Amino acid sequence: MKINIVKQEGKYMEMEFSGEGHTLLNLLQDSLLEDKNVEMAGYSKPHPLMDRSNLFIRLRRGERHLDTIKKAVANADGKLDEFLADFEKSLAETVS
Amino acid sequence: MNTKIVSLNEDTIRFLVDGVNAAFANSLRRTMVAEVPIMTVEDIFYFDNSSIVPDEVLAHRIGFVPLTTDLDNYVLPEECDCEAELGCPKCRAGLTMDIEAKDDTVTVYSGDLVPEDPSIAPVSKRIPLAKLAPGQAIKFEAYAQLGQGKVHAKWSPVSMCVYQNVAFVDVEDEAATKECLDACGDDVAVIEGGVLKVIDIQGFERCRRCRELVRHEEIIGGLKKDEFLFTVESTGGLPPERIVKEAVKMLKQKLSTLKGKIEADDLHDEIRDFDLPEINEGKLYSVGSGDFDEDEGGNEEPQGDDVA
Ligand SMILES: [Zn+2]
Repeated sequence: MKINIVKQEGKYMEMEFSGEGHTLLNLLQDSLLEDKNVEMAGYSKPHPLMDRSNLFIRLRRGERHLDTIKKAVANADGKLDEFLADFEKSLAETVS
Repeated sequence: MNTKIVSLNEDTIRFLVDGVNAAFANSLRRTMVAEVPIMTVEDIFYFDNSSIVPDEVLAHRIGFVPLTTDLDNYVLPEECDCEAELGCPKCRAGLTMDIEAKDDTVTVYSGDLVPEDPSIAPVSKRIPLAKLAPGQAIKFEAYAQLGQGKVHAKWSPVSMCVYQNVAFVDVEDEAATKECLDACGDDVAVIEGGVLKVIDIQGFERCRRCRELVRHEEIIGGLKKDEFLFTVESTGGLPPERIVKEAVKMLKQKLSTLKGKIEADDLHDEIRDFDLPEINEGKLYSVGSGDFDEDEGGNEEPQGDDVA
């Protein structure tokens, strides 16, 4: 995974990703949008053959974009943990 | 969040997830299809192939033969510390084939592949690979490696991995619906608190009685946005439930890589639009193919003058 911050002006930030696509960014975008301080979050893949994706974030207050992303990552991670625990539980019930 | 296993057998798992959105479901699906690694033949060295199937066509067929995978004892070649072109016992498993038709025509099956490590063996022994006329033979050594579906479809651990919404429909005639549901089975639809929960819409509509009771439009109108039925069908390399678990682990891995990069403030990488993988030149791959030496490239005489 390669990351490059293209633009960081006030409440707005734009990031480029390489080696990652819809799989991670869609999850991340969705997780960012659950944050009340995020006014806008989106991503785009300019061309399917190019290894480049862009992530855009605009906050309502403050300029702590990276902390917001970290929070979104933790949120998505928590959901995955919850899913895995749930899945393993119902699996154990089914097998037994 | 709530999950429920609808059905599970050796190659297919169907489960319900409640309380997640489409982004989560899609990321999970994409990870299962393209990221979860599985063993497949990647390199083949032929000693003999006198069958009518050309080497490369046979190699392609063998690449698509699903192999049982031992994820705990093997690593991806790019993550292995050996850096050998053909890998080491930690990142590859060998399979051999030595078969000759004597007096009769012989069909070569995937079962004729002899695994070096019994845990990396063809899932099915009955996949036809080639046919040999009397006197023809095939002999080769093949090396299987872990890989990901995003590199080549042969490395995808699933032959099908889909999700769809679950529908809730109000029922008018509960007795008739119940009677129908008893015939269909509770992995197709159930009645929950006076509301009909259609788990498998296609399965539900396959039943004529059910179709008469609930119109298609009603089902489509009653789709629940945050509950999904996943169907994961494994190629046989990994148990289907393992694929789901591995996918979650891999997604978590991605998230922790991102988190690590932010924490290390490693956010100014150079990104090129077409980052081509480095091609491993020379050595074994180029045997007999005539190495092109760059230094000699300039000595070629200009062409065109001779024609005039
Ligand atoms: Zn190795």
